[in-house]
Amino acid sequence: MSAIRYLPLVVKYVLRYRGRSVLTIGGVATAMFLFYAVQAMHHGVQEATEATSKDTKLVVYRQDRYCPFSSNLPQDYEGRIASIGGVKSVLPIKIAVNNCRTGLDVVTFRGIPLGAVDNGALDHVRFAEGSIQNWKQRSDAALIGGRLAAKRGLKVGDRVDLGGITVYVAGIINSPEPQDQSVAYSHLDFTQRASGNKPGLVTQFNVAVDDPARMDYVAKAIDVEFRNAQEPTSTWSEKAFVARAAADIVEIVGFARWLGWGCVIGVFALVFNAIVLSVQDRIRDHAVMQTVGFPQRLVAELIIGESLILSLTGGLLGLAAALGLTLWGNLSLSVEGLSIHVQTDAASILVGLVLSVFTGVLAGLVPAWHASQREISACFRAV
Amino acid sequence: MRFLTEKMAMGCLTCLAISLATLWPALAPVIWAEKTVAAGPVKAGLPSDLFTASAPPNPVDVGDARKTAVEGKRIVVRGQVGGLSKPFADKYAMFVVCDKRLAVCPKGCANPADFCSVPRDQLMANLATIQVVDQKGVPLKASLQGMNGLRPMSEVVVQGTVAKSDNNVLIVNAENIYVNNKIVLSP
Amino acid sequence: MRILPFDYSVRNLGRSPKRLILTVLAGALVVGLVIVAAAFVRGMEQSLVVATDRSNVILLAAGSEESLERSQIPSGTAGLVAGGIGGIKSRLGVSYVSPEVHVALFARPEENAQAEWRTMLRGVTQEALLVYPRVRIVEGRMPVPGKDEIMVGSLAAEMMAVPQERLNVGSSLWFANRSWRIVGRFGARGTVMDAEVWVPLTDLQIATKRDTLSCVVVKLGDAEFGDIDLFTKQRLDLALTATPEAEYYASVMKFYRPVQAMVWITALLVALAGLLGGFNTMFAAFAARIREFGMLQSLGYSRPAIMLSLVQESLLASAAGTLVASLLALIAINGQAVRFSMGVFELVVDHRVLIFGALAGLLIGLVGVVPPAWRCLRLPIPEALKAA
Repeated sequence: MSAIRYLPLVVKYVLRYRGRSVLTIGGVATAMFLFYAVQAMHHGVQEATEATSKDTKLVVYRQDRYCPFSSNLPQDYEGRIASIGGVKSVLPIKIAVNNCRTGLDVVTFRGIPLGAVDNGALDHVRFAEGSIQNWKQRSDAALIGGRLAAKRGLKVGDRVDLGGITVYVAGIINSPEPQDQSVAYSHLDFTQRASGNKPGLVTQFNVAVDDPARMDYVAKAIDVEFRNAQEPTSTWSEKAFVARAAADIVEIVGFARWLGWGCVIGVFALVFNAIVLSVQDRIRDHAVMQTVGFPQRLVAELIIGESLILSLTGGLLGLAAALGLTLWGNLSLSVEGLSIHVQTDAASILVGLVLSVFTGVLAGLVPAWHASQREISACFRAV
Repeated sequence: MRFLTEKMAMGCLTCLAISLATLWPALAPVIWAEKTVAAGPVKAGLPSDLFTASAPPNPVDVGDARKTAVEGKRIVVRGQVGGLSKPFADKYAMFVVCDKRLAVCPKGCANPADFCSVPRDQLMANLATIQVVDQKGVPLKASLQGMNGLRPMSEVVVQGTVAKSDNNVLIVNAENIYVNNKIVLSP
Repeated sequence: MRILPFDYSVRNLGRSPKRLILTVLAGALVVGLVIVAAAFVRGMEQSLVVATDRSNVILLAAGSEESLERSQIPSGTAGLVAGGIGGIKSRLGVSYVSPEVHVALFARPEENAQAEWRTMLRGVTQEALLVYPRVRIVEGRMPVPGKDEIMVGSLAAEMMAVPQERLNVGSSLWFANRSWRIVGRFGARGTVMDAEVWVPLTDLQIATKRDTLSCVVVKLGDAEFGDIDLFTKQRLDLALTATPEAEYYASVMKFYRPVQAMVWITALLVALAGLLGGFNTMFAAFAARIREFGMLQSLGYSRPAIMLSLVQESLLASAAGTLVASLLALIAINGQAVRFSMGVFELVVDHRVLIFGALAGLLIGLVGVVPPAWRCLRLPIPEALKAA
């Protein structure tokens, strides 16, 4: 007798103790929501900090500084960096941020020169709205990253105050680079003025190298070039730079992953508890089933099926809630002008679903085995 | 024994309840965040004819006044209350005005009165301080905010004497203030 | 109303020791989580709001109200303030006016070391000790200008994530292209300064190549905040803004509110998951006693009286769990330093946090028992007596 045929019976068992099932599914959904949320943060950290073979970008920063307010490099370093072997392009950037501290509502401006845009500095971005010509026409124009625009409800043509700086929205952009999603690209001189700084100073240089394998060599060469300069530099790959800046967040998220795994254990305990109670209430039913010819194996499979339904339903609900939060919430943790996006990925979803199935099966195993091993007469006597 | 157990347990619960009840008046304001209530302005000694119903004639915009004002001379200056995030002085009869020709912050600006969209150098060159002083030249201790409709972004025309004028500051001792309540320059 | 004896509830708890231990542990876990979240928030509050000096006023650059690190004001501002504002607290001719530079940078153990340690530097003069009475030099002395000396706070080691011994008096740090010797340690318990490194103001200005200050902090004597504010509006050329120190740190606190909300939501979600699981257990436990409830009713005890007894049972168990959680929190969590976003603060388990934990325990005890108990008490007496 195939257990699948008896799926309606299993569903009836789940619905029979509606209150208990709702509570169990609710608890599982809550725990799995937390699991997915922690995984989403972890994915954001990974995306922002883990280097891949395709990375070709270096960040040149003022040595020993870790907040954009304190990194002021002369803009004329650009020429010297460009002349170093292995450097494909140099982009001076003035970062203006309303707060260096870790927060959920920080706006970061990246001021870039007009000339750099003509040289392809923003070729990697796609315009969802607006255009680069629009941006070039006004000195206070800004290109807003997709996540930031969605969060603030911005559209092209808006004139808006972001973090104390008023800009005209000339375009909404999407980019494969994680950092671009939550920033506003503005004109360099405008950003310099808005920050109250003297012109001719930038926060950092983003350097593209022509060979990813030579990134370390180029980084060292840049730092050697400016070792004895008035403003010495430290050069990092972009991912390493973010990891360094967001070290505290990386640590907290690493710790939170244990919470995520704890939630999975909690799911197991919840479902196990519910199944044990359910089996206890159905001792007579199982006795009757075995009396009329149901094999012990089938009885066990029905119990495991019930456990699986509870676990999977709760897991799907938790997943839906987590997806809703990450897709519509557009959450980003910002620190020192850098962003870590909270977003679920396909791998986390798959892992979560597999875990839901696995814990459901596991939680039902022991009660199922006990129930199937009980003698018929013992079952009737126990009632 | 049962009697003792019961009574001891009741006693513990009663002590806990009494402690909570006694501590609560002290703890309640501590547990919930205290809100500091600012003291209201103290209106003392303001001239009765300070606010006028009509604008003094021949006003000069703040930006122009910064270039032409002479210390000790009378002046009529026109501007809008703003230029700082809090343009009114706390508890003193003083406020800051800026040239009304400056670009106003767009909609959605957290605080339009700070004119954050204007480059700082340009803003600093178009600000003036208006104060109401006593016989000794000391600002009176009375906030002007809200009086006669005076609030951030109000257009005002002020008649008075230039107390200080140099490359950096313009301070006017006001004798008459006209508040144009028909116009509040908002984004 | 005739109520059941109190020791009936107590003895019922002992019926199933395993279940009692599980219930107490589960309650302890949930309340413990709530206490940890509250301790985190309270610790942040303590360092940013509670411990600030309400008689201090910060003068910083207009437009930089959100962040002292961003502010730059003229170097001579302190002298102008001291001379231009009457009523500032002073003693023996010294005004309580502290010019300061706030810089965030990486320090190293020595010149070419790879290790980088996150540091918050504050350039100060001797007047800082007047303006911040909470600061106490616990070892050594204040650094002297021109000799590359520094003084470290008691939580500076946590900020840098190094052992406490690394920052002993006599050891050194490398930053801004030179070695700085630690000549003193100070304590400023519960304030943001506790995690800082103090440097003589002029030394820090020279080292960081700046001729500006971040701020000037003034302690009010007879003067009021309005007098400082008046000065800033009369000297618009200085482009200053005055804000009470308490208000500045309150705005920093406000900035952290979303992060605090995240911490609370996480704790509450875990508590909710535990509560939902607990409901099932309670339902099952009471379902097994339906006949007992029927019997009690037939003896003359009303449903509210039985409910009260069940609530007593639940509250006793959750109170025990709360006690365990509170003790563990006081021993293991209170005073633990947490490095977070350009600062360090200590987790605070004080009376507020413990009362909050106790209230959470009470709520769990109540909420966890009422629905299952009500469900089981609904049955008419004959049906209850017939229940298996």
